[in-house]
Amino acid sequence: MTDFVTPQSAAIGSIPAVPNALATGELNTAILVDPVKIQAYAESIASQMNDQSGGPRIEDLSERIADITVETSAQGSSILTVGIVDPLWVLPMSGFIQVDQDGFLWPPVDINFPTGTDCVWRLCQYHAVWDADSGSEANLTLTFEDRIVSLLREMSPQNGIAQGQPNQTLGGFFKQLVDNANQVLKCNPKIQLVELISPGDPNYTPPIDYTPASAQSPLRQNPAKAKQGLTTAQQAQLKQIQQAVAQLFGGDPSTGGGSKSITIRGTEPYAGQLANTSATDPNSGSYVPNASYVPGVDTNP
Amino acid sequence: MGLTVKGQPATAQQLQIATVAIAAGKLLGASSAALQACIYAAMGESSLGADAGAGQNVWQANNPGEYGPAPNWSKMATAFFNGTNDFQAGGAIACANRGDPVWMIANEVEDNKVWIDSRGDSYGHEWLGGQAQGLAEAQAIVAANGGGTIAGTPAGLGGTGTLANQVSNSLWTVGDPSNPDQDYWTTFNQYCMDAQWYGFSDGETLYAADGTELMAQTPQGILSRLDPSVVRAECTYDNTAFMYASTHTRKARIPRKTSLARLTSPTMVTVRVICDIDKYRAGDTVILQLFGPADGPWLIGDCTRSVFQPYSDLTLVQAMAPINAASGLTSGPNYLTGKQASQPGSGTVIAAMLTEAATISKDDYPYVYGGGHSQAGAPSGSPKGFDCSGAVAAVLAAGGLWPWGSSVPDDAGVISQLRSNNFIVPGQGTGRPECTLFDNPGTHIFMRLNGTFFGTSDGDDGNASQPNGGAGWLYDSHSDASSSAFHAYHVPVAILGQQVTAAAVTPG
Repeated sequence: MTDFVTPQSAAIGSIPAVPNALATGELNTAILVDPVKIQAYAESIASQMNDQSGGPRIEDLSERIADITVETSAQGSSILTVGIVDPLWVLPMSGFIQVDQDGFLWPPVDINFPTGTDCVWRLCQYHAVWDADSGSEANLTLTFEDRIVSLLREMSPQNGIAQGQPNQTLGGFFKQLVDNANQVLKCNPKIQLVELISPGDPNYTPPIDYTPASAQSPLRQNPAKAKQGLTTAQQAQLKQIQQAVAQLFGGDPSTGGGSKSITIRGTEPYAGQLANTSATDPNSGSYVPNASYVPGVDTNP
Repeated sequence: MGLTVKGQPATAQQLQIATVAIAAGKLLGASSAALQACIYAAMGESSLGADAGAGQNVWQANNPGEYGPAPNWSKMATAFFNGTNDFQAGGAIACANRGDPVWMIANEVEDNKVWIDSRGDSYGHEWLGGQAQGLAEAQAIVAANGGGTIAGTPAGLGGTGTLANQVSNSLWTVGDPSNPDQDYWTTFNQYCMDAQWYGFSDGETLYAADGTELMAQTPQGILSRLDPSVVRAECTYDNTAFMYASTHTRKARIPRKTSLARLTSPTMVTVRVICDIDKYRAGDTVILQLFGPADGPWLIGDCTRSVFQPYSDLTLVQAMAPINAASGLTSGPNYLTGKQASQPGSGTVIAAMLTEAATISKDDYPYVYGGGHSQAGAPSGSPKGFDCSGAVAAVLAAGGLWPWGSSVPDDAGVISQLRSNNFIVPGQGTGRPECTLFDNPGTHIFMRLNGTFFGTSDGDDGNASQPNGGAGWLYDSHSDASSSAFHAYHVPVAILGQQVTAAAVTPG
């Protein structure tokens, strides 16, 4: 049987194995899992919980924290889960975790995490396990939901609006809901709604809090996101990768590395093109529905 | 040409005041004329705030303290639109609705001396070009804030209010008569799913976003497979999981069905990358390089990070196209309202499943052993009904997760096939959207959709003959869901949010 050989596979044959960073220790992961840093996170969370629980302080709470995990989702609520080693069920038994007469976890326990961000999470669920064999494993899981979500859950037609306005867009309706919640709940800080909706979407409403434009996506209030497309550093990084690919696969780095089939008009690789594609006409600066301009390449959609 | 106030370039604060006032008017459903009158009056009274002084009394209201501490532009503008406090003539909205011209609305609502004495325009003389210049400036400012049209720009660009392409067919509501206590978060999620927007919160900010705009962000990073920080990646493309919508033949090519439903295209890309704890969040974008067909920009659908690990796990998805975003600005008022959009064939996987589940009730479909097994989605037997796996398969088929009309195996077979197609993963789903299957192999299966259980009930408290049981929403399954006999599997959010095409959900 003959081996199936292509120029690419021949080239691949010469590629040395690429061990990952964890295996080689090439990256200093100790910085990222620094015990001191983890301890600081745990102490911060423990301190905030002790301050707000309404029950007795648990002085060694930070030492009981066995896991802290953040799960963000692009659809729905994001959560923070904290695993705690509490074989004797001190937290639920001591009054540290309390509920109101309806069985609702109360008073609210809000946690700022990670330190240095404005992210705030509110305790929404606790799950305790009693297992004689569990040993020193975390047996109590506290789930904190995004505080904003928790506040919006408190609002209903009973204490707020039941419907929107005539001739209102969906974006406008959302803004109305948030404004109403801020007003009724006297939120501090206020719930901030960012709408990243295409101007061509019939449901689009320019939000109040910032000037909308395709070129502005203030996700996370990150300055790097204040404009569209690749940053200069990212363009340089992409070029480095292209050159590496060209070396491995024998392609032309000026056209995006080894695969000409993924170039657009021979000027830039597919990923870079797509990432920089805009519906804004580079000539007039105005939004054009369904158009895709590639900066520096296209003058027509 | 930039926006001007009395012939001078508008300052940042003037633009901010205008934006706030116009937004307040939009929330009240103000027409373009009412919005322009509000701005025209503000320019006439205080040069749109420039002459308002420390009290920020932009509209020169008689008792500015009534509106709360300054700046109180939104409240004062609201009073201008509604004719409350000391604003007159029923407010700008009422005046505009009876057809008064813009300059007249401004004067009668402000009830200034010139208007009282002579029914004239108190403001026009403040512009070198007279009233016409003032009205043109107001019109331009309103148009720039998306509140009307101006010569030379697309009609309705970003606008709201009374423009035809943006008029909703019905009021947006919080809950409905069957669920009058629905909360805001559920409402927000429901409408986001209907419109195929991304509605999410990352601990810091609430976002309503569509896929187009999310993908237009500056990427959070470029991930190369050979980058030492990328320690693990999985990329799955699966032709057998595609569902074809229509047939298209191209010259000199193999006839191929195109317009693929994007249910699993590709199924999933997951990347484990060493990074700082807050480097990536869901809603960010990344660019993949050296991942073969997966090269290019991706949306982070989920991001999980434990502080005890040096890496984050990213689940990358293709961004959904928002419903009707492709219809453009001039297509007329034919976009779907939230409730219409949730009908099968035009919504997301979860929306289609919810709709299907809502149409199945034990009043119509009793428990019938083997019911719904010959053709997924179709009740069978005599009388026609469903058994547990037949009912669950009908809902899955509506969401495109099971081939509509195909035969349905027993519960274990259903789970097996869903797992082989990567449609489900072990564990319960959380939050919304959510679809969790609970299976006691060979015995019983039911599901939970956005927190509500669905399946077949025995109807008679365990009576084996189940004379009163049937398919529908369940209200007594919490104990089964937490029983160790039942294994839980959930459909990943990345799949639940994707669009189901009509071909995938409509019975053939």
